[in-house]
Amino acid sequence: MALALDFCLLWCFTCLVLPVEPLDLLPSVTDDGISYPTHDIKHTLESTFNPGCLMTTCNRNGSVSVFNLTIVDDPVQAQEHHWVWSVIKHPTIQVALTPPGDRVRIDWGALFGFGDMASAIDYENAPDYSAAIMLANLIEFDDQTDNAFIHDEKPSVLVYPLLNFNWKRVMIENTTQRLAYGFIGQNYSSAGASHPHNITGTLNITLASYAQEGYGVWLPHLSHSEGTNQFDIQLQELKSTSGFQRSRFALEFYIVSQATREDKLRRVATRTLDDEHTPGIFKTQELIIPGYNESLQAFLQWRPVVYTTRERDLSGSTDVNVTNAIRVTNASDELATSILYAMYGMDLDDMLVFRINVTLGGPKDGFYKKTKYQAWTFTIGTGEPIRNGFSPMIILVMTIIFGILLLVGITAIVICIVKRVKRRQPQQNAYGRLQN
Amino acid sequence: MSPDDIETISDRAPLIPERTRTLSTHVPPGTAVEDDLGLTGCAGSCCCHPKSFCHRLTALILMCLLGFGSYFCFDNPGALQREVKDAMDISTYQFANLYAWYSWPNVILPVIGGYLMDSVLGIRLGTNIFAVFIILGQILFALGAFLLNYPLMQVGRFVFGIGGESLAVAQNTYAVSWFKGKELNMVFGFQLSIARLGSSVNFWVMGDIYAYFAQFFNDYTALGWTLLLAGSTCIMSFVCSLILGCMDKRAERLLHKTKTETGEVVRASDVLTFPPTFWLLSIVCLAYYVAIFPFISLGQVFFIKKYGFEAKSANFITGLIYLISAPASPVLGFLIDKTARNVSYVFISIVATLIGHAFLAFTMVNPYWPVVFMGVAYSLLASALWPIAALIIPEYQLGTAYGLMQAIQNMGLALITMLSGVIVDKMGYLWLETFFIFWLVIALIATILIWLIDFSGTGYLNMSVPQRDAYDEKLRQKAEQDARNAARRKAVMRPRTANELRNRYLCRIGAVLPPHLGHAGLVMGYPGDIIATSPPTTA
Repeated sequence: MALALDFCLLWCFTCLVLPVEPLDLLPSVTDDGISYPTHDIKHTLESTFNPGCLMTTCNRNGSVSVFNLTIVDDPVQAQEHHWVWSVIKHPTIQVALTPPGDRVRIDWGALFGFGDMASAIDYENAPDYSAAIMLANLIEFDDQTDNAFIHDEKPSVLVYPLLNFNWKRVMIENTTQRLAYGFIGQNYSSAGASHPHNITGTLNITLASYAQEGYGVWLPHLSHSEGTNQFDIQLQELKSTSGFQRSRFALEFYIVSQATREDKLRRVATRTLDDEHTPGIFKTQELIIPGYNESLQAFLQWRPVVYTTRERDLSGSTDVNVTNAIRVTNASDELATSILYAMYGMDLDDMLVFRINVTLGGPKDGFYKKTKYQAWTFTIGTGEPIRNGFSPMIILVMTIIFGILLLVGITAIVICIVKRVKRRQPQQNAYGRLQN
Repeated sequence: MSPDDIETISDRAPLIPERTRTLSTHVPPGTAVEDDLGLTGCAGSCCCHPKSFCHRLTALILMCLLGFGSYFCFDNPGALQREVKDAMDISTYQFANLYAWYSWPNVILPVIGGYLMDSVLGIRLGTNIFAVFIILGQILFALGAFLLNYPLMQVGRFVFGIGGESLAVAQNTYAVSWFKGKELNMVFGFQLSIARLGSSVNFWVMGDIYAYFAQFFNDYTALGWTLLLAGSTCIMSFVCSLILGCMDKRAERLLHKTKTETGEVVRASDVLTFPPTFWLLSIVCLAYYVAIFPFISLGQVFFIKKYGFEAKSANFITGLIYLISAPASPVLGFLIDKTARNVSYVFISIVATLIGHAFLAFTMVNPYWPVVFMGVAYSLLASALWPIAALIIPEYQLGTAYGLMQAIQNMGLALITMLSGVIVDKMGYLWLETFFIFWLVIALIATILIWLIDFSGTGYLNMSVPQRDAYDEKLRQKAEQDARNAARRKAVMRPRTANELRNRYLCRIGAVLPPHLGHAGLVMGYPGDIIATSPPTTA
């Protein structure tokens, strides 16, 4: 009985576990046409800071930060990942898939207004595909109905452009496997803003790039690979002069992709079995940003959780809501002073450009004032979003548990059979042997 | 074995099924004197006569309600998990501590509770005191919420724990005092069902009550009022305890009943004599229940997070295990009464629970199915597991055995519930489910070992009822034979009296005993001698 049930359990377990595909086992084609399984490819991360900039502003602590990151593949692949992080005016990440050996070129003069800013950042060869995301504004709104949705009523919504923050740069890690920098936005100035309100506190943005697959260092420990970057934003001790009693914050992003204007963003919400890396969160949400095909496209991926304490645990968490994307029709005008214009110029009018709002918080969470801290993380990547299976640790533990059970079960059955056989054999006593 | 011979056992959720209670002959019930009481007027009416059906039915209702408050409030935190965590701003680990604090006093109480109740307080006073403890505990618990003072809430749960478990013992003891025979099984069945219903009702209504108060108050004040309102069930239990005490005192006076004891006095010396099977049984008890109760305690948020349930639905499915158990326990108890094979049923229960947990962990199937599965398995295990102790432990040691099992179980629950909270916070629900599966595998291995030991011996624990009856009969006959042999051996070894020596001499020479000795015609003999089977022909 024990053995039969053990086998049943093992069968169930095997059925449940086996369909889970391990990460990234698909072969990839290299520059020389030879296909390698992707886990045989070595990636290293090369980065340059403010490449080619000789201006004095480039050396100040954080006022101008442009990182150029290249994921170098060994052996060389048909396409190479390039990342540009910029915290000039607005924090921006651009990803470009280029032929191997390509390099980013930055026209610093044009970037600072001494010339045509259009395409001040470009590549020696045109990228096969490129996409970017820019954090444009911080929005504060008075959530009278406590449903965590922004209502477009002017008096209860205030927009704080991020270019009005002063940025400082802090290195967290800089190796060939991981580059992580913190960008700290403080001292907001309301000059030039549409309203006179001021805001104090810190906007802390951490950007990270990886050369290998794995999980992020901090909760929500999002999956990453050489094809993704991580964007983590923390709203710390923000306090405005708005006078809102039920204040919530939202983030306004612009998303740009080299795709036809008419394409649509696609929202995907998947429910996972595994909350190992993000305890208590079983959902993953994705925004698929169309490109030319499934490998030449981009995506945003996040877990629907905003942590409300620095410790980042489930008990100190709330919801996040990404609103429907709004198509930007006259992008080159709307983004004329932004870094996105420097990256794409007038091409913006022919590209897919969307605007999304990310509302931090959920109903009945006590609003921002409860903890005065909110942290949200997402990854931006190219190709298909990363989908996780069970971790090897879970599989190992379950195998050990059921292995021991199986062993005990088999041993018990063997002992049982031996004893039963012994009992069935006629008992031969000393007299019996004598008679024989 | 007469069903009148009862052992009373108390435990928190695995209320002992009726069969367990009929297996021991340790404690004699209070027996009524069968004389005419000569009561007249109201005192002798259908409602007041202590022997009348109505009067005893009233006592039964009071007994059932006596435990309702305790069971209702025990799982208050589970039904309000999200609300408690949000209002008090605590982690899952801190929340799980509320259950751990309930269990801590019950690591000791099963050891000394029986003695306290039997020798110090008495059943009536003891019941009242423990009912006051649960009221006090619940008030402190609510007060902690009002004052946003989490340590005070923990103190409340500790005090509540002192009363809750002991009240269950008192409830059983009252049942033994008032009912006997097959009535008693039915009474235990009722008590069990009402207890389960109390837990289920808690999961159904607490969320709505909180939502109602939350309209008027802030979150922690609403929580305080909700818990205070829940505490009214404890007051009801206390009132029942007072009325029942009065009724019991009157019945004792009129019927001259003997004093009823819990039979749960633990003797340390007994522990050394317990067989390995008992310790394995304790491991099964520990390992199984730590995969059930912490799951129920932490279930609400799990169902909300993983399956996207609303809080109300999450509470319903969490309480479903208890709800299924209410009708299933008596039915499955009856099944096991008729079929025995306890070890097999324990094995099946654990495997079924394991499958349920595995489905919750590794699939997204509708969680109602695994939970229903687990509810039935839980009921089956309670009916099959606890009687095993009565089969392997002598009756005079059963109080110690059950006390020890409860103490071990509560210690496990306290520790594992805390650890479960940590796991949820740090590693998530998948690891929590894996953790529960680990404990169920431990339970399964211990069950296999019990079966192996039993199989190597007589196989009694896993016999069917006819096999067990035949074995018992054989054992009885052998015991009788042994007793006869022992008596004979004793007779042989005794120095012979003068008369015996004379008779032996007469026997040797073939003489017949004289008739006046009352043995006319009987030729005397001893074991091994040829004995005459017919009277001699000579006068």
